[in-house]
Order: sequence, then C-alpha cells, then structure tokens
Amino acid sequence: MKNISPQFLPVLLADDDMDDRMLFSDAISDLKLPVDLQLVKDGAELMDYLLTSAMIMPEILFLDLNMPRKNGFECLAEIKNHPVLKEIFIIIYSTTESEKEIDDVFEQQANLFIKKPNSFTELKNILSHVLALDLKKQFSNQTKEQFIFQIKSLD
Amino acid sequence: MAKILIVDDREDNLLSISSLLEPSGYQLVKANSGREALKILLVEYDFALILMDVQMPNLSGFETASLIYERERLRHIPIIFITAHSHDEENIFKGYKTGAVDYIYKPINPDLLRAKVSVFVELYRKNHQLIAQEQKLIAINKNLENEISERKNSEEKIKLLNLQLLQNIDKLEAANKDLDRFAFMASHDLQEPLRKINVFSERLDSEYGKRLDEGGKKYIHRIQTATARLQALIKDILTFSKISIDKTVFVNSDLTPLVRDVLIELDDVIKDKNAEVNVEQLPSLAINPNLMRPLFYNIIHNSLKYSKKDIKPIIRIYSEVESAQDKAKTPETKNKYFRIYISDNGIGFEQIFSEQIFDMFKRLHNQNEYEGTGIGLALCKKIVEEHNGFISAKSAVGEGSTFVISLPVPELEKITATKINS
Repeated sequence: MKNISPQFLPVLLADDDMDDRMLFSDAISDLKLPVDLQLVKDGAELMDYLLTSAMIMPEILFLDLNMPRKNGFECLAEIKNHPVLKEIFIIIYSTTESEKEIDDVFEQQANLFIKKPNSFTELKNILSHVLALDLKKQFSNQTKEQFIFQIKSLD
Repeated sequence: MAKILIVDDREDNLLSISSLLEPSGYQLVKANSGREALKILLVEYDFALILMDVQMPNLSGFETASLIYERERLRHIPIIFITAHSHDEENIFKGYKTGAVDYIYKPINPDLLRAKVSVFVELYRKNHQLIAQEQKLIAINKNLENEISERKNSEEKIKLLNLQLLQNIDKLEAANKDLDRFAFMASHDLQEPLRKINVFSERLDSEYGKRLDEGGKKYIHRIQTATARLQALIKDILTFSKISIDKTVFVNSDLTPLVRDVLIELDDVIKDKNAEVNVEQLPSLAINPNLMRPLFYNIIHNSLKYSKKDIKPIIRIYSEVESAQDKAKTPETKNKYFRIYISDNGIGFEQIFSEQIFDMFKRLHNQNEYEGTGIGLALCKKIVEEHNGFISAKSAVGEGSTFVISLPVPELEKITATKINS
C-alpha cells in the first residue's frame, strides 16, 4: 500500500455477472480486508462512475472483459488514454483462455491478468495475496508470462 | 464346292462339258439358252465361273454376257466363252469388249478346259477369302471404334465423378469445420454456468456443511465430483474442436526435447507412480508443437494411468524410420514414415479393441476403475491425422501396450502450403 493511504483501499469491480459481483464482495468481507469496494455492472456505468460520480479515485480496478453496452477492451483503452485515469492499477478479471484476448489486453497495458477461479476458496486466496502487495512495485515492466497472475510465481 | 454355270444351246455339248468337269467335284448348273441363264442368275449368283457358248440362237453368248454384266451383282463372275471360230479376230475383240475374261476353242482340249476352270475357281476362292477377311476387318474396326467411344465416355464420366468427389470432399471438410466450431462454441458457453455450480457447491459445503448431516454432505460431494467430470469433458471437447479451427503452423522441431518437456509437465504423476520413462533419440520433423505436446502428454499419461498396481511402470519411447521396402503391406506405407513408439508394461487391453479406443468417448473401463473423458485418444488421432500421419496400438491383456505414431517425412512440406492457403 502507498504511503499516504486512506484508511481503506479503494477498489472498483466492473462485472456484468451478478453472482461474480456477490462472490467478490463476500470474499472481501470474509477476509476482513481493509477495502472500500465499489461495484459497477457494465462498461458504460464504469466510465460514467470514473468520470463523473466517483468521490475517491480507485487504486485498483478489477475489470471483466465481456460486458454489455461497453466491454472491457473499450474501457481499458479509454482509461489508459486518460491523463488522470491511466494511473489506476488495472487487473483484468475474466474467464477467457483465448491467447489472442490476453495478448490484446497486455498490449493495451493492462497491469495484471487474473483468471476467474473455480472456487470461492481460491478466490479468497488470490485476493488475500494480491491486495496485500505493493502492486505497482511488484508488477511493473513484466513479460507476458508474469502478466498472467499465478500464485506460485509469488515468492 | 465351287459352282459353275454352263450355257450352251446344244444338249450334247452341255453333257460333254459336264462329264469333263464333274469328276473334279464342281457343282454344275446347266442352261440351254441365254435367256435361261439370265433367269437362273436372277436367283443364284454365287457362281465361280460361267462357261458360255458363243453361237446360240436368239441371245448370243456375247449378248448374254453384256446383259449379265449390266447387273452389279454379277459383274465379278468371270465368263469363259466357248467358240469354234478360233481365228475370227473380230469376234475375239467383241468378246473382250463385253467384259469376258477368256476364250476356249472348239474342239475343247479337256486338260486345257480343266486347267483354266481350276485357275478361275481358285481365283474365286481366293477372292472370297479376301472378301471374308475384309468383312472381318471391317467388323473388328467397328468394334474398336465402339470400344474407343465407350472408353471416351467412361473417361468423361470418371472426370465428372472425380470433380463431384472433390466437391464433396470440400463440402465434408466445411461441414466438419462447422461441427468443430459448434462444439467449440457450445463447450465454451457451457463453461460459465459450470464454474458457478462449482463455486456455489463449494461454498455450500464450507459455509453450511456443518448444518448438514452425512447424507447432505455426501450429496454435495457427488455434485462436485460430477461437476469436475463435466468440466474435464468440456475442456477436452474444446481442445479437440479447436484443432481444425486454429490455423496450423508447422515448424521443424526436434521431438526429443519436446517429449522431455512433456515429462516435466507429468513430473508429479511420474513421481507418484514411481515410474521410469526412457526417451531415446527421436527425429526432427516439421510439426505443430502446440499439437504434438498434448499428443505425447495424453499417451504417456495413459501409460502412467493404466499401469499395473504393484509393479513399477516402465515406459519406453523410441523411433524408427520405415521405408517402402520394409513391410509394404498397406497403401499407407508407400512413402517414408517415421514411426515413434511409446510402449509400457501396464495392464494392456484386448487387441480387438485396438481401433475402437481411438473413437470419441470410447472407454474400456468405467469411471470407478479409472477416471477419464474418453476423448484423449480421439484427440491424439485427430492430431496425428492433422499431420497426415496415422496412429495405431498393439496390446494384450496383462502384457502392456505399445502405441505407434507414424508421420510421413517429405510430404509435410506440402501440408504447410495447403494450410496456408485454407
């Protein structure tokens, strides 16, 4: 976490799937992490939140790729092109296994890729690891292999 | 026997000529006037020769001869004129003019008559032979012509059928690709809800498990087991269907390090089974490494999975080059082939199943004995066929199995070209 940090880490999740939003939120509360979680349910709502209604800029954005109205790819491009928003640490949070899609988001300078896990326990495990790290320090200038998050690759 | 027509108005002449010629076995027909001769010749015309008296009342020999030669059908019959006026040059000339062939002078020299008659009969016979042969040749020619046109027709038909065949092959390939695409899309979409089932049944277990009795907990575990199987199945179907959809890139690769990489992936299972895997020098070929790896993974994993219970599994991977000379029994072995063998000392299977096992979803055991989706070997077969090769298995119950991957050598360069174009 950064030096001048608010009491709670502002985290934003953009996911159109109601179950996944619930699971994510439950995981955070189960882990009792000091996180201020905001949820949006599609790309249009995401951009609207970031550009107009957000009170505090999120430090981390978990971004799903397949969303209606505006999808993750488009949002990623817009955010990375924005002078202020581009500082947000973007974690692509998706079920995709397509090499092409992973390549795309890597080219677009997303910061990390996490594949949606198969179990709740695994989700909690991942979140407890990821949210405890100084992300910008840990995950900068990576190769594509490092871009794809794997728990065992952490030391 | 040859037929001769004798024309003379005097009965005694007819008789004496007949008696001269009969012993030679000729068939003799007599006419005592020109008119009668013509009447006979209306119906019969297969005479070898006509012996014609010149001096006859009403129609003379010459006149009769002219009338005879007016008819197309009779023009080929030679006429020997019998005449007493041996030095009448004017008559000789007339005779030749009407188309007569020869003269014989009265009184008739029997030997001369017989000699001349036999010459013309021989000529007649030879002519007939020639005509018969000519007919035969014409018939044969016609047959040949018919055969040629039939063959041309068949060739045309074959060309058409070939074209249709090629078109059908294209259609089949397109249909297959569509099937694969469908399988891919369907499996892909099935993964999402499956993930949810997994996640929520796991949460059910961990958060509410304490509130359930043994029965309830068992049901949850059954759900999780079934879900895990479904996931494995879908993952395999996805992999299988992707093969023909993805563009195949062939790269010249050394198979030995590729197989060693696969062994690293299987390290956990190998250690768990305390297995020994020996890899001998394998060839370098133009292959798609992304397909070759799962191919070897599946087969080696099978060898480990179907090992005998208390016996150390020993797996041997080696290769051979087989060319047209060696065991060229089947049409496939016409070209050079690399053969890669993966043999184990596991539980084996009955050789009658050796082809079935490569069918989709075909298993020889049920889930309780050995887990599996029944797709692994079908996948291997598809991968090998994508490389224009073929795969086979040899085994016996209790005596281990050997899987043979055959890959053609020079042909692979052509594959790259066709793949790039498709």
